[in-house]
Amino acid sequence: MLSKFALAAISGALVLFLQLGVDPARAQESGTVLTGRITSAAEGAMEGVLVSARAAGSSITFTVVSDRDGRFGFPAGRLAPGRYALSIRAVGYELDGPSTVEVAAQKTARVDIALRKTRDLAAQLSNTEWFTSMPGTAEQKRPLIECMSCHTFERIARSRYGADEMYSVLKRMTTYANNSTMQRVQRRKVDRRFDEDSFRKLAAYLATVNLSKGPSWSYELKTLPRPTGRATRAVITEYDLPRKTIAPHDVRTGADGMVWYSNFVENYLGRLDPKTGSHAEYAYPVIKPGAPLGSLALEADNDGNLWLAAMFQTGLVKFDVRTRTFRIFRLSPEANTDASQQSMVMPRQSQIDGKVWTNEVSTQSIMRLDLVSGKFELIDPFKYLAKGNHSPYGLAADAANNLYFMDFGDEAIGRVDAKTGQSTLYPTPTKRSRPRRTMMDAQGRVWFAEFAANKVAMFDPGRDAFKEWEVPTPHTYPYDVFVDKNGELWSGSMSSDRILRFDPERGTSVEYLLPRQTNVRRVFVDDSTTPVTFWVGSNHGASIISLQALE
Amino acid sequence: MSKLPIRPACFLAFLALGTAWAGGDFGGPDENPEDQGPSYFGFVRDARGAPIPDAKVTANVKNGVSFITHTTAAGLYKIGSFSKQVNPGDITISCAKDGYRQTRVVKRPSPKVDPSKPIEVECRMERG
Repeated sequence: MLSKFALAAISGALVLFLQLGVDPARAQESGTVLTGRITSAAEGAMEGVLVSARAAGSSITFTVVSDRDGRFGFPAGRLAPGRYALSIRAVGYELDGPSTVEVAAQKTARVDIALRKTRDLAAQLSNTEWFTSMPGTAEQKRPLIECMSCHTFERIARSRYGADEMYSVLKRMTTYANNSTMQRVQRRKVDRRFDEDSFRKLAAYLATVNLSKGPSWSYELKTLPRPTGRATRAVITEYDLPRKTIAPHDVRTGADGMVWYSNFVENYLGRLDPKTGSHAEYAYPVIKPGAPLGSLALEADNDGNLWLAAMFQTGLVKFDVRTRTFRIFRLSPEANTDASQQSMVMPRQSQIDGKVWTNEVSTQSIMRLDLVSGKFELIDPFKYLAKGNHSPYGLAADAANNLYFMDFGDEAIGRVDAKTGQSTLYPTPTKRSRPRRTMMDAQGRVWFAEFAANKVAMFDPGRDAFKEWEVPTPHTYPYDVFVDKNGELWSGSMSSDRILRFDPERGTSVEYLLPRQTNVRRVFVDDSTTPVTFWVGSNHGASIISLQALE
Repeated sequence: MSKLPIRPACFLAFLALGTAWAGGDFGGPDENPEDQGPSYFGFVRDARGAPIPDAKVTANVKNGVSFITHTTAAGLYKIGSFSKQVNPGDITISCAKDGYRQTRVVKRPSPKVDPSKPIEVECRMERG
């Protein structure tokens, strides 16, 4: 049952892109290579405007943020000499005319940028801003948190469907796999369950906030404040991937400095060299014909080899980083139904007992792979609970390979004992928190995002105790967290286009705005750099993003 | 068995929080009333009857899952619902807190056997 698949090496598909534009060796040693000032007639000098520069023909965009005097500067070492197109992000504004600038060697280029009010504010809103703008009760809006896994709210807000047509649209949505994007829509083999009453209510509500009643919205479009202070001191680098269909989900760096990512909608493992911008893809075969393609979780084992959770393709996929070959671990035929789905994998401590943890979404269960036999064992941690919407999701393993899992359907952290297989459930202090992704820190504490509660949280297994913190921006709906070597927590969401950096000791936080609409999933911090480097994929935008704080 | 007055207010508060065991936001009703088995609520108290906040309460199903929660500032906990396949006789409630030891666990007699109603179980601890 263990099929081995020698990699069809994509030497041809090894896409080298961008030699132009980034060549740190040739850039200036210190100071800034490109500076300027941002103003508008409405505000004068503008703080918190994101300024992005991209060299002609390049796939890499560099972004900095203007300070309180409206000044911005690209640090030396980021931009090689060349012609750059400039773009901005400042909600409510747009560039007053096209802007390009020539960056020369050995001197600082200067460009002043004028902004004008945009005539299409709706096109600039993040999902969080739509959430904030739309009238309605929390109960009415709550189901919308499911929509943004495939598309933005702008799409809903611009639609003209009345309640009945919207109901049909909602029903159609249940036929699509959760690993669908606007670029690649995938049908499920088994439709999602839905409740007619809930859908009727939701459809009726959506028909009050879209354009079914007239050419413009009946409510004010509210925007979040632009970044200020600390939030303006960061450099963001965005690497466009070579196909729009690529949907990076989990991103992580390896010991070799390469950035690896899972592709949510295609059977590829992707690799980006952040130094050169070169990109490669490693294809694994179709495991289950007719089922949606792509994988979700990407995790590394103790040897640095990579594991993918194969979603509807089912089973687990291991990639040997040294030999560049895949090995596929398949479910047994009797366990593999049309609804089977492995979204998560946790191989981190598999060297302890030869076991890799995963989940079976269709039966709301945990599974554990035995590496010697290749067999999956099913563990139902909710067996003794009343039936409900449980869903083991984010996984972490402690030093003895005991499992900690998030009950994403509900509100508990679970533990499965590696030796006895016995489960313990710990409900979070906040009800209906829907814990999503998680990571364990060096002290064995479990950090996680409470998706539906708008909180980040920590569970201390030593004391069976929780701590929860509300994230600064309402309607963020954090997806994941990562605690770096300095004890700072990083988080992101599908909604806000902002990366949260939070100090749990001091309770201080800063939110960095990203240059484009960015559907954030797994967040990752490379602790080997100083300062640390934050990495994330743009799940709907076919790009990989890094962020370094300038303090 | 110690006699403490029934606290209807707390009981109602528990019922109001019954949606706690709720689920996803897209898939339909959160609860499955057909499968509501045993559930529990009650206070953790010290020797003088004062409620103990932030005490750990464990419900352990024989040969099965454990469910661990903590009491509120008012010393109240709630756990459940378990599946109706689970016999209440196979569930053990216990409590713990640093500086305390459990002395006894008191199950309140319920007027009639209704599996949809939470069972009140009080856990007593004393210093030491």
